[in-house]
Amino acid sequence: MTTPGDGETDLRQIPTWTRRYARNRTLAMAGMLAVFLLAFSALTGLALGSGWLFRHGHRPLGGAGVVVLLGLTLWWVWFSAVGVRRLAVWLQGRLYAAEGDVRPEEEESRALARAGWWVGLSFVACVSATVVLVGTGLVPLKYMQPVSALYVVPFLMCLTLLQPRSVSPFLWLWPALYATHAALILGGAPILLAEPLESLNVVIPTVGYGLLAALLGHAYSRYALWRLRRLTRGAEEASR
Amino acid sequence: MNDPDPEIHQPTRLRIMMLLSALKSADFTFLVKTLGLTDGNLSAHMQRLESAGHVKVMKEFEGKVPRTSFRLTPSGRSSLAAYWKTMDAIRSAPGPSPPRGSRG
Repeated sequence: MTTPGDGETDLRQIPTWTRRYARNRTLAMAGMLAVFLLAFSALTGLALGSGWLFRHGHRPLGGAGVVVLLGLTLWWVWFSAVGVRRLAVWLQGRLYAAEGDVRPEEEESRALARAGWWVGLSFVACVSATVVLVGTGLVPLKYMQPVSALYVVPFLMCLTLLQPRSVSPFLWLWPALYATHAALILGGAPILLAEPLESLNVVIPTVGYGLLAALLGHAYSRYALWRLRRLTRGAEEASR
Repeated sequence: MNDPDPEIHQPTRLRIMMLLSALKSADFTFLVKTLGLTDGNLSAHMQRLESAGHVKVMKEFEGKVPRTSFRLTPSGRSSLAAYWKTMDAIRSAPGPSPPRGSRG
């Protein structure tokens, strides 16, 4: 019977690089961000549009806008709790089909699922409150991103903290950059877009920093897979 | 001193066990591609690991496409931990004394 040789250190590194690879398969996140972008744009557009209609005396149309806004908000609650997971699994299967499927270790508990629900609901409530505040003119649109940072940053941190074994560490960049962006706006840095692109001041940091984090995670997963294959291949030859 | 578990000690099976130890589950394609094995070779190794009770095989359908995935069983995890404990013990055990006059 053979004893471990020089390759034993390599063997012991396999779980580390497997975990790194599995946690950083973040390309599906880009697809989810696209859905998030659409929903966010629709919510913002409906809120702003409804507010404008009310202010200009078109109450029936403004009311219809609010009804659609409520429906979309309910859909978003469902999507945040159930749909986003289904979409993530579907995208993950399609985008990484050539490499095969891996499921990272997960923290599965009822407490976690319950916490996820409350985090999702709180987030939707905060988004709705913000769009109403901006739609009614109580908060200037240029301060929407710093105001949203008050709940977006904790929300993104919660998503990572609730699943520390399965989520890419690169996702910490997202809340960090979002908070930095808000601080720069409050500090008067010239990074705000003017009319008619003012609403992009929230959308760009939300989607842009998320995409950046996802793409960095994906790039790191390429490196991790390369390292992993170097550690795992050639065993058949070694055993002969 | 115990001998290491022969089902785990084989290089390819040890790598399979180490890969699965870091995951909830992995499918057949991932293991074939990552280990650089043929389908038949991987199947043979997985059958031995399943027979030994180290791995659980899960077969499911995604639409009409069958998918086979694997995960370590709790006993597989403890066997892997015991394997490394045995290997550490073998390594730390004092080796045979060098023959006299072998130096210089």
